[in-house]
Amino acid sequence: MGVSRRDFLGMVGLAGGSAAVFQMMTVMGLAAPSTYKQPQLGTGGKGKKVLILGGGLAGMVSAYELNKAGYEVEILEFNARAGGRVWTIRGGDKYTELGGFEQTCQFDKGLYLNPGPWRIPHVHQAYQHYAREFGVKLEVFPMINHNAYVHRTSGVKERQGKLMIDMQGHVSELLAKALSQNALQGEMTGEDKAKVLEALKGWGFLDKDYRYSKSLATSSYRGYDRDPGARLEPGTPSTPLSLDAIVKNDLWTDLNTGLAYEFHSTIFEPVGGIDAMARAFEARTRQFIKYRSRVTDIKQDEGGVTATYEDLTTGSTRTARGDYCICTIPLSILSQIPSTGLSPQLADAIKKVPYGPSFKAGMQYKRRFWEQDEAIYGGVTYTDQSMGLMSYPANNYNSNGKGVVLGAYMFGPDAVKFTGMNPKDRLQEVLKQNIAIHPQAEKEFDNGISVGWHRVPFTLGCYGLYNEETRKDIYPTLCALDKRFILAGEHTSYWNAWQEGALLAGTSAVEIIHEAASKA
Amino acid sequence: MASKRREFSLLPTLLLSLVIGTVLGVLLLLLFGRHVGNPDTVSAVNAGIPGTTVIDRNENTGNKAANSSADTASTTNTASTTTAADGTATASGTPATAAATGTATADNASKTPVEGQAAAGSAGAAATAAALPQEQTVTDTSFQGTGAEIYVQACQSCHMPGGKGAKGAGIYPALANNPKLKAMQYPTGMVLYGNGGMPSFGHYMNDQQISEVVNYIRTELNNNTDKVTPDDVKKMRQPGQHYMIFGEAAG
Repeated sequence: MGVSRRDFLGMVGLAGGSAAVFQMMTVMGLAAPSTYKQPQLGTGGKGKKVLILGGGLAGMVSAYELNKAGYEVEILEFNARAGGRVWTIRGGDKYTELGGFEQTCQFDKGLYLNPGPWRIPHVHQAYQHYAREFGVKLEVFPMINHNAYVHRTSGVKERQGKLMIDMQGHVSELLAKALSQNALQGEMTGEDKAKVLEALKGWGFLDKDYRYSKSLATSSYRGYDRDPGARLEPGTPSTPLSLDAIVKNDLWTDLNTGLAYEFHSTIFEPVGGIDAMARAFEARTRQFIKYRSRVTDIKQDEGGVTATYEDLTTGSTRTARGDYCICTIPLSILSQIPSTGLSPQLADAIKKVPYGPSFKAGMQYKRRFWEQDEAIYGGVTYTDQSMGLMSYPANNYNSNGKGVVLGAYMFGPDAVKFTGMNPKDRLQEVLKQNIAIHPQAEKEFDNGISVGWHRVPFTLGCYGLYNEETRKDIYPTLCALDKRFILAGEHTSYWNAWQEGALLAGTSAVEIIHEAASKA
Repeated sequence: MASKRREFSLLPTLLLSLVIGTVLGVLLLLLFGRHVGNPDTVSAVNAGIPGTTVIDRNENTGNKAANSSADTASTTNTASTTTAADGTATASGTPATAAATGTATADNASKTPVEGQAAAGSAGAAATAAALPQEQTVTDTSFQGTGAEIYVQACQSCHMPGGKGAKGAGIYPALANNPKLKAMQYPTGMVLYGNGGMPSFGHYMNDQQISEVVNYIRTELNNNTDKVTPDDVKKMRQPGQHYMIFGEAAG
């Protein structure tokens, strides 16, 4: 009778309301497969206290949800601000990294660098939940920009859209050729073959002879040498890149990045800087936070957990105690803090997670030449230079003022090397590499700021690194409740280095603690 | 006004919807119910259960990279592995690929063959093989030069120029005038295997490079006179060791 899925859901909605629709959608496999579940704790927390170590997203979401359920909460935070790695650097901000190297950001008003997380996938439903609850405004981050480049030091600089279409065209042509020559005999029947040929022709922009060729029709996908215009200008066809050129320079490798699940459209950034979510949580948990508190000892006993900390403002030593403890301190630091009363397995596992390197540089240019000269509005250019990628601002398009691009985003040994350089040398090298992609950068460079995560005083590294073995051997221990003590942070999630990981880890810690507290 | 009319027809609509809904629900479950099983499959896979293939979210959250050693072991790897729709992966292609227990998905840092990370193991293509891991091949092009130069490139980011160390919420120990460095096994082991938050550099330096940087630290930043040879380093490498890879993307 031709009832579409949508019609059916409409009927369910009429009968049972939106909750029923959602439940049915989940059963049908249509709803988001998110692992986020809003903690439903009721009001059982009265008279119990949870001590939270670390005021990043994991710590604050824990405090926020526990407090709603009546728990008393207290957060010890090393920095003078909350948010941890969810951090935005703006004009006027001073940043002193480990080793004493000092930088003062000289960006224009409204311009910023997000040195840590910077993008919000729609996949990340915990984040989206709190964005809705707190009214955190999001704007679209164009993860895939067809007009941004793939750049190679060998001298290649191609627009991603053209590359993508050429690759698709060539592969389709090859496959069509193989099919026509019966090279895939046994793979499919005659009818299937005809179907696949038809699909390849359409999907690969092939001509009537199943060739991916230079034509106005092909150019209507990959673009023209001269665009269609008014009157007698139908457009001048462009010449596709050869498959050889694409494969030889590994140009295709960067095309797949945007296809990763978390990068699927729509992906966002918070308006004004990534710290919007941190500020939203901080506004709701500030009363619980003891800023500038450096934890120096953790002790678990039968009745609770006591943290000793140095009050960095006064220099005095204090203690804080809770019936339970959610510890969000990065393992790079926690592994150095003496503890008693933790299970030997946990104490050992805490010492076995190395932290990954990462490096970013924000470059302020005097004008938005990427937009004005090259029609690149947001998105990411990839290069084989150590800078890794360049990302253009996804906001204030066509502004006549200055603009800040992410001029480098590195991982691995390159990040280690750049982190070890002094800030001035880093910028010089990043600029040199930016110029290789955009020659205008030389004249337009204004100022910049860089962050190498192993020099960040409050994390000593970017994120928890696991491999198959450590995931199996120590990770389950790190995730488990240890009597009254539980870890939370991106390092207790499979979304490492994402805010989602911290939020999921925090909310799940809250559920686990609440369950334990309810039984006690 | 209009509400009255609606009220009148509400009950039959509800009943009809329920009946149709239940019937269609069963039908659609039959049609689409298959998808419901997916998350389970994936979580089992993520748990690293032996014998299954691994789609590992771990350190590489930007791309679904597994951080197993074998992924980066083979620079000839063409990564012609495929991920089946049900979340399990199958391997095909070169023996090197088939030997991998996890395939790196490359971001900018890991895509260069120089890193020993096959260009083909590109972003988003989480692909794996269910076979025994092979011996990890060391990448020795990341850090280059004399011991002093390697120190600047690899160690200085944390241990600081001159090995003076640093203190924030945690500390980086000073390497200059550090009595712990008297025994050459100690710093050599640190470089090879890492410690706590410090990543291992065993994948990123060959025995010669490790001996040079250890000698620099022990003799230039300290007053030791005996030298570590590449052979000493080699002896400290445990066979079958999977050194941590950290050339991948995050959020």
